[in-house]
Amino acid sequence: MGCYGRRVASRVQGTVSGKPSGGPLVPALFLPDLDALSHKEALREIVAAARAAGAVEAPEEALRILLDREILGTTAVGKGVAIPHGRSMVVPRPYLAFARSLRGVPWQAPDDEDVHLIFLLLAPDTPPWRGPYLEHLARLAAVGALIGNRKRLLSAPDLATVRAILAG
Amino acid sequence: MTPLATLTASQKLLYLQDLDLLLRDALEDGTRTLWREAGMQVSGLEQLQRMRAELASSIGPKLLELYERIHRRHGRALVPVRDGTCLGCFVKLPTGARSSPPGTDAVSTCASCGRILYRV
Repeated sequence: MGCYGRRVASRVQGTVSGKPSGGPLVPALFLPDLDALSHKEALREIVAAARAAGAVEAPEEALRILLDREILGTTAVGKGVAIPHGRSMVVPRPYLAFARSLRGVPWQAPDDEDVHLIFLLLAPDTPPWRGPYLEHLARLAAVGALIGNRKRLLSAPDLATVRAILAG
Repeated sequence: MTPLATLTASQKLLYLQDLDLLLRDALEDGTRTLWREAGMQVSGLEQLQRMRAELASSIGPKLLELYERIHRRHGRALVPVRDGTCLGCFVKLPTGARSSPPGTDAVSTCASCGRILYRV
């Protein structure tokens, strides 16, 4: 792990987790305030933190699939929320990280608002995971669409609170 | 990101498989509908297809043909090797044939299912 990884790890809450299937995916990681000034930096920062937590074995590949997904179209959905996501063989189990940027990150959002709340979802590429992956995506979009959830996530002090908000 | 020219053959194949998966999702009605309902628009399909073509052209024709053939047959040409087991068919691989040597351009296939092996 490089110095950047150690610095990230020191202010990250969480470890490796994630349900194999069924039910809402529990976030394994919470980054309360990103340093990133762009969406690419934000993805790099979150993936580095996930690697530091031992959750991502192939960070370069994970970052690449997330960046390629952004080329397809921004994963910012408006109202300060982005849901970057991707599937790959290098991801052994679904993984969800939640990150916050208090200053906001430009993300080419449809409403031009900077992104403050980021749900990063990675999943395996095999067919049985496709259904749960899409369900997780839909669930995260629904959580982020509610103003009450966004307000609570913006002020959430810890991973346990984030998990409680996502659990609904 | 790692420049294309510095990737090994196995890494290029993995990248190709990831791009194919993303492109398949992008062309699939259910995924597109979900993305649209979540507020995400698909606008970069052609750029990704160009990237895919550039990547494919950087892979030797024989290897690319092998990938395409296995991809057509199994849907997933590359599979990870974990604990000496091919995760495509879950057969234990003989020692020495468990994956491509890291950092080389050699690729190996599973003697049981024929998929290309990749050490994560």
